[in-house]
Amino acid sequence: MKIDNGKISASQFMFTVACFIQASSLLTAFFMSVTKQDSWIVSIIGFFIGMIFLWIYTALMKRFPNKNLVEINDLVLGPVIGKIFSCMYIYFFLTLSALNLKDMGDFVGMAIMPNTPTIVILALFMYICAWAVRSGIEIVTRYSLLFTLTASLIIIATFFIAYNQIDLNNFLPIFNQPFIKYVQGTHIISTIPFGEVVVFLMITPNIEIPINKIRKYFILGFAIGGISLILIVLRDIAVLGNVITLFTFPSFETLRMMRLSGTLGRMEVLFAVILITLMFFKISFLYYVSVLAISQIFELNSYKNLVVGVGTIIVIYSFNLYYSMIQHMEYGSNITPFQWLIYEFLLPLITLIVAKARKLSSSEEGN
Amino acid sequence: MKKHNRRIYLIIILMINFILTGCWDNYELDTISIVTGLGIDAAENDDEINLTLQVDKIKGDTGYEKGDIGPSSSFLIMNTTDKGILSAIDKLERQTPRSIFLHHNQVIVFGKEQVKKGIKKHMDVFIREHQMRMETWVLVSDGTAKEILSTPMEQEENSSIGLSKMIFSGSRDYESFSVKLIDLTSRLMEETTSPVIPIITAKNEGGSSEVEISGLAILKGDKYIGELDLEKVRGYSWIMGNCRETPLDINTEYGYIDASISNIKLKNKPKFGADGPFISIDFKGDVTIREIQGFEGMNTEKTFAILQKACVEQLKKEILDCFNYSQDLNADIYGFGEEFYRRYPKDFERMKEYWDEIYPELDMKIEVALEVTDTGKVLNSLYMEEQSDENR
Repeated sequence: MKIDNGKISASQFMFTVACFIQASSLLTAFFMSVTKQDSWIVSIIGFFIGMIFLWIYTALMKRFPNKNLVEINDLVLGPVIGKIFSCMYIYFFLTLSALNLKDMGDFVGMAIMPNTPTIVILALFMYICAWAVRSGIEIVTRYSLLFTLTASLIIIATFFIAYNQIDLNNFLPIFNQPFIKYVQGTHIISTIPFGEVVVFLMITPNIEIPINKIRKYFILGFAIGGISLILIVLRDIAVLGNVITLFTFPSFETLRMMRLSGTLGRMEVLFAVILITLMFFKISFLYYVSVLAISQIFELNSYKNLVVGVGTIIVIYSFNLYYSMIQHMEYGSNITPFQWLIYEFLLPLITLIVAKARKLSSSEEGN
Repeated sequence: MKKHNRRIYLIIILMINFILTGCWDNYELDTISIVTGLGIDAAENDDEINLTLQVDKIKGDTGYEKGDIGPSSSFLIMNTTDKGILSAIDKLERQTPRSIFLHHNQVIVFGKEQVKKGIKKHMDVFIREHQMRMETWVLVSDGTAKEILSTPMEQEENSSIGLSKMIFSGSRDYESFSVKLIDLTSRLMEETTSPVIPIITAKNEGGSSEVEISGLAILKGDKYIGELDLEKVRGYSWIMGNCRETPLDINTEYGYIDASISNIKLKNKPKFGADGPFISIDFKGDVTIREIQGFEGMNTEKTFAILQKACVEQLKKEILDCFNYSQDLNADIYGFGEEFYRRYPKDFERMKEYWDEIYPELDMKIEVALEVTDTGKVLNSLYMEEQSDENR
């Protein structure tokens, strides 16, 4: 039984992954405050560790091409343990949506509308997301190509605009921090933006790609997103230097610095619009996945009735996540990565090992 | 049909949402005072500061009746004393009918007295407050900040905008004067570096007053300890790689030369020698001759040889003058300590504590290679001997 019959093509899937990761470019402060000028090294290592995660996910995808995560859990681990696993994933999806929503709210509050109550911004934002989610996976992922292209162009353009302010000396000294800091930084970046692609396991049945090509497209999309993230980190370090640790949104502060001679300055609102668009994409995708997972676990025929309810839960949840930005940063750099590692690495790995041990597979080639 | 209507309603509601979001905290142009310059002076009480805001007057709705409004009345000055910057702004807000809008602030001016007391504790608000931007210029006033901000400029209606344009055009020759808030913050965060901030002096000559950039203030930690005059600023700029095309005037025993040096390639490396750390500077550049006076009866080749030698010596002298001066003050204005930290992080850990003792003893080895590439429109000067005269 499939709840959503929408189909997405290979290239759409690829750009969806890319766009999903690009949307995290606001959240670089978590590891920037830990590894400072070496953050770019950390993000490159994190990118390759993300590839290991990707290998697990694609192995699951290949094994069960017409099942999503909840169905895989039920099939592999049995109805009881499988349901427990699925509930944990639902908690993860909901928390992730709420966290991203809150980040978006904080960002809009800081950058564009400081006195508008956050609830107004979030409610309106979720309203549009809910509209997209109700229309199904095809609508949610339709604009991924456009968003990815715009974001990539912006990243490249800002490199040229910021050229005057780039100081390569800001990267020195390399490797002068305690080893444990690099481990921590790598851990943060590999779990916070990169590992989050675990959500794509929920839409496996909707992807119209031959099984043996799925890994190729997943990795391509991941690479586009990852490389843009690394470029952003490089740019921010080169422009801001040692001041980078002070800011909550380093990349936005970099964009605020940019100007073309005296005339064309203060363009950051344009960039803010692009960032919000990317966040819209990410949140609506996470929202869709949470709704789908919940309706799947209760074996509903349609997920559409849940959309508004889950959306409300996410909005309210996001207000209760943390009290202040400082607490958020503290959690983001020290606690959340460990929590996320369970959902992004441990649970999929257990599922994969059990599936291999029990020789379960839903694809014809696997049998 | 019904479904169709519903969709139209939905679109209308959504459109209204888009328009109304900005209405929540709207500021109309006639309800805000746009701050263009912010000045901080020392107050009588040690804890407090004297804050000066320069607010741009928003003129009448038409651009036609500009005649009566002279340049002196295009901005107004607000002044108050309080403990913090934002609390002072709040205090000022109660005195004006409009709300104070800081987004378009162009310059931050510190009074010299305040810089002598230290500026670090007042930097926090500039980094923290959302309305402040990291690209704002920072200046030190030779007198008080209020004096600078209340001096009108002839060519600009608003003197803060004039100041920022002045720095911008000044940085075409050398960029040492362009100190932005981010540069200052970054240098304050470096442990061994002494930040520099350009000094602005207001001159009052026979009724007309004007401002000019008169040098660089040197800060040790966050306190004023001395300044570089314009000649030393040039010596400072040579090795900071801030020069683009810089004029250099030299008096030799044969005559006077005005040359400019461009196409500068600079290598500025900290090194460890047999007797401790030293700085090695490798300077390459092209000399363009702008004016020659004297050199009578000498041929071109000889002139060039003298000229080249004189240029090299002059350059070395300027660089060393400035460096020795900074050593006397024991202020690492170049950030050499940071440079050591970047190249030799392990060794610097040990040196850091003693940096104040190392810096005055630091050696500098300068290699200067200059080439005369451009002589302007002419090859010879009027009174110089032509090269192969007798063959003709």
